[in-house]
Amino acid sequence: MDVFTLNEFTFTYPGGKRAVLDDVSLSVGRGEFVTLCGRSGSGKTTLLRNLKPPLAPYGSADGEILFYGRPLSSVGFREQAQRIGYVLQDPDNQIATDKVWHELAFGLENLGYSSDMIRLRVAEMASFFGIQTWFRKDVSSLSGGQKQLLNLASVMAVQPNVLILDEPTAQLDPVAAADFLETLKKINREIGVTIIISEHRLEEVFPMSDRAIVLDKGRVIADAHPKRVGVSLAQYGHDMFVSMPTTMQVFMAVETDVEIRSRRAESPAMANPAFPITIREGREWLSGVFQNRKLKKTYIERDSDRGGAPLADRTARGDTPGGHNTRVRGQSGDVSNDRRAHYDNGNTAPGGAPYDSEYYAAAPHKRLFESSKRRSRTKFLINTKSSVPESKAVILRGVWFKYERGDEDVVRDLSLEIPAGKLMCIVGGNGAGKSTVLKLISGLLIPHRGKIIINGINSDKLRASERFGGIFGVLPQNPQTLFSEITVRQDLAEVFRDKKSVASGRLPAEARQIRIDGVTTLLEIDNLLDHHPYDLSGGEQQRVALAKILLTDPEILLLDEPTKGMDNHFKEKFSIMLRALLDKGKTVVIVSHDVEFCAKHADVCALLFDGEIVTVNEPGRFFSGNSYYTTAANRMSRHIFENAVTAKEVIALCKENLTE
Amino acid sequence: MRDFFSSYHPSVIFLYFCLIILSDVLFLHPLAAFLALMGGLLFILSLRGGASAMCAILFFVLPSLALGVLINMLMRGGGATAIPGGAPSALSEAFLGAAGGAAFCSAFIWLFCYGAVMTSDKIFYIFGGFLPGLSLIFVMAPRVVKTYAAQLRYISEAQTGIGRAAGSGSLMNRFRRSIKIVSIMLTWALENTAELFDSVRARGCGLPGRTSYRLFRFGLRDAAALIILITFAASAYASSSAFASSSVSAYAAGLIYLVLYGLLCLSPFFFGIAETLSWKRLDSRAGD
Repeated sequence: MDVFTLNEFTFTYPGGKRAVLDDVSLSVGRGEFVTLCGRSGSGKTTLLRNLKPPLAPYGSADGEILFYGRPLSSVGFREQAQRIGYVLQDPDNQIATDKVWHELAFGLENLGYSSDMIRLRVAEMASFFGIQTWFRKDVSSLSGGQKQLLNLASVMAVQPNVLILDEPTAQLDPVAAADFLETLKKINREIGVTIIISEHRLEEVFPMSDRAIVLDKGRVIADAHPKRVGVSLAQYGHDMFVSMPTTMQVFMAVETDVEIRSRRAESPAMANPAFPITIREGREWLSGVFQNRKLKKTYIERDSDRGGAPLADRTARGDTPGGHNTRVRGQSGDVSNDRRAHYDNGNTAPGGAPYDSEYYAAAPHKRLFESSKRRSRTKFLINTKSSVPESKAVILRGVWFKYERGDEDVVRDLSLEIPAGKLMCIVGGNGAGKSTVLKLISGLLIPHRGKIIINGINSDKLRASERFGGIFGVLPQNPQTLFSEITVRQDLAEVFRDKKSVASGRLPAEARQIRIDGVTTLLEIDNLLDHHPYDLSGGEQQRVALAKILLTDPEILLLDEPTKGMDNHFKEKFSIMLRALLDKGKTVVIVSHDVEFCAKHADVCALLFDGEIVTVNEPGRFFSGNSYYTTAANRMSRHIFENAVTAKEVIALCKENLTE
Repeated sequence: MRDFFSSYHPSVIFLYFCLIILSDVLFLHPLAAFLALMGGLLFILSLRGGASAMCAILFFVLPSLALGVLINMLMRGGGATAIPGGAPSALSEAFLGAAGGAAFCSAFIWLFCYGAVMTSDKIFYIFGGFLPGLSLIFVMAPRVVKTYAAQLRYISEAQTGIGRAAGSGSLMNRFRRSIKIVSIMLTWALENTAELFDSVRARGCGLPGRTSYRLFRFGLRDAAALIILITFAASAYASSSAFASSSVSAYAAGLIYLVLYGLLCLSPFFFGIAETLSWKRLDSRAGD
């Protein structure tokens, strides 16, 4: 019997003009791992919440939802609490108690289990999820990833039949997100719990799903195995395809290319490739494609490379041990023979490790540092060979910072130059000090040693009113910390009300209106002006918050994790907006763990680790120089191509090499 | 020297503090005040280390003792033993003043120890049992308070970031900006707390027959400690009432009372010593 069956389910919010869910029919079988995807506002959350009665939104519903064959409405309050587990997007909004152990016990207490039973279940959960070491800690001392894992564990403690998760990794950094999804997979495979999850980032979750369901404007447009979903989205040219895993995007673009297909027909061996979905499969597929083929070009040329010496830089990285594989060796193009052979060796080794696992396992950190150390010596600061020296918006020199006198330093001897009019991304793991660096730049925090120079002026000499009234615009991680009015329109007008703060407060009324109009048009929020800020989606809130900041007309924008919770489709839009701001001469600094976004759109990338800048470079070199901290496209193609870091670049190189 | 007392069952700890504070209030004996003070200081020593205990002595205990002496000598005159070469005051007055000072600061020191040892989860554990209806509030309140405090910090930072630091500008401006921060906070709290309560409800909160899980187990050690502490307190009480009715030799009763009360005050310290000794024994045995 199926866990959930939806028959022609339609749902409309009160006062809503169109149905948020429109005639949805689907079923979820026992033990299945189902991924629900779709753009923001496609109805994913509404659908998931309707499966959990206490969370079901108010509105009019039509059709039926069956839970194990009987109407969901007939399932009692106690039974649903026991059998349907639900994990929300924001871990903070789900944790009820202040101690880890107590949170694990919370659901069981509600259901009235005896103390001994709870003790057993709590012990089991803590052991299964690896929580023992922080079992007695305060919840507030946990990282976001740990909090979400705790949520999962405490929901699992009541042993539900089905687990529903609404974008559980949206607030997590990629490493924590991958850990979380691995745990989910384990729950599904080892315990057999049915899983229904909605996600934006499909790179990891797609390969582990049995089925993918795509929602578009409240309708189910695809419901099949992830691979088949990928194919059909590509065939219809649906814009959800940009959210598919990189491997799939590259594969479909290359395999459906007419010219390539016609050439392929000549060699029947390659006519029917297996559809790749994971990065490892993608690597194997690429190796197959370029087997027995001389590569014409393996290097993407970028503006900043002109006049530079890319090859010299790359040969400096000849730290690869001698993994040799005759298959590719000698057939390859013109550069870095042994490096490619090294990667390829890992790729084709028996057991099929995705890359040279032995070498990485032996010294995973060594490699990261080998390349970065060399980099930091030779070109610690941004590559300026190509052009006349750019003007710097912000220069940090030997900056040190700690929160309390007795504490350890959070930022250590940090030096960084931020070029004016460019988009700079500072990437790094959780707790590397990214947000702290941003606050140091803006002056929200003051370093205890070192210098910060803003537009040529020592930061100490700037008053707060100057800093925040025209120089800096700071977008906080949580946009809700900026909203104070009941409509977006009033919220934007409110910026000018505090006369003393913003330089622009002295503007005449017409000029203010012109500025508001300009910003709303740029950020495409004209149609949201009469909504309550809290009724908007995450991406929309982010835009309204950004609009508020732009109204103060800052020269330098400091954005803290701006892509958090945005879907791929919107990220593209967002990048266009950022470009428009850059074209107006603004400088943008982003701190983010969204590696893919930074690779695609940054002008300069910097890696922050342990309070230090480890390497700075333009994204192409930055990511092709890293082995772990890099994009999916780079990981799938680095054994063939030199420096492709986005799907687009991999596709371009494939096409160039496959069509003569 | 480490504190072992806080590892006892919350009910033992709670009862102990009740006994100490009760007997402090019930039997006013000048020497007892000094014993309580000594016990409290030793407790701080084991909880926070020598530096903290030294700090407490230098900046809190000695000044309040001195103040007690001064006040008592100024307010009251006359006594048997005049301090040689000093004002026409008496040694007994000075002593009683110091005892008053000791009683005063020992109360604070014990309250401090209480706060350090009785963490929120222990308090909720004890009161959650008495008031099951309120236990959920006890369970959720600390979490909500911490989240709000953090959010308030983020909001004020975000406001500073758009040029509205609550701590700058004219008085009127500061006031307006603070109001703004509070109003943003309220909106945020309303929205997010609603989601929190929804999700808590979804996890079965509000179902009849809620149990409360006990992380703390009442073991043999706790029972032993409880018996010892109650015996000390009860016999101290008995001897003090004997002392008051003077049916026995007042001097002997007073002495017995002081010894027992001293034992009570110092018992966290003695428990610590006992624990340390048993560790030493284990270590030496492991070496065999």
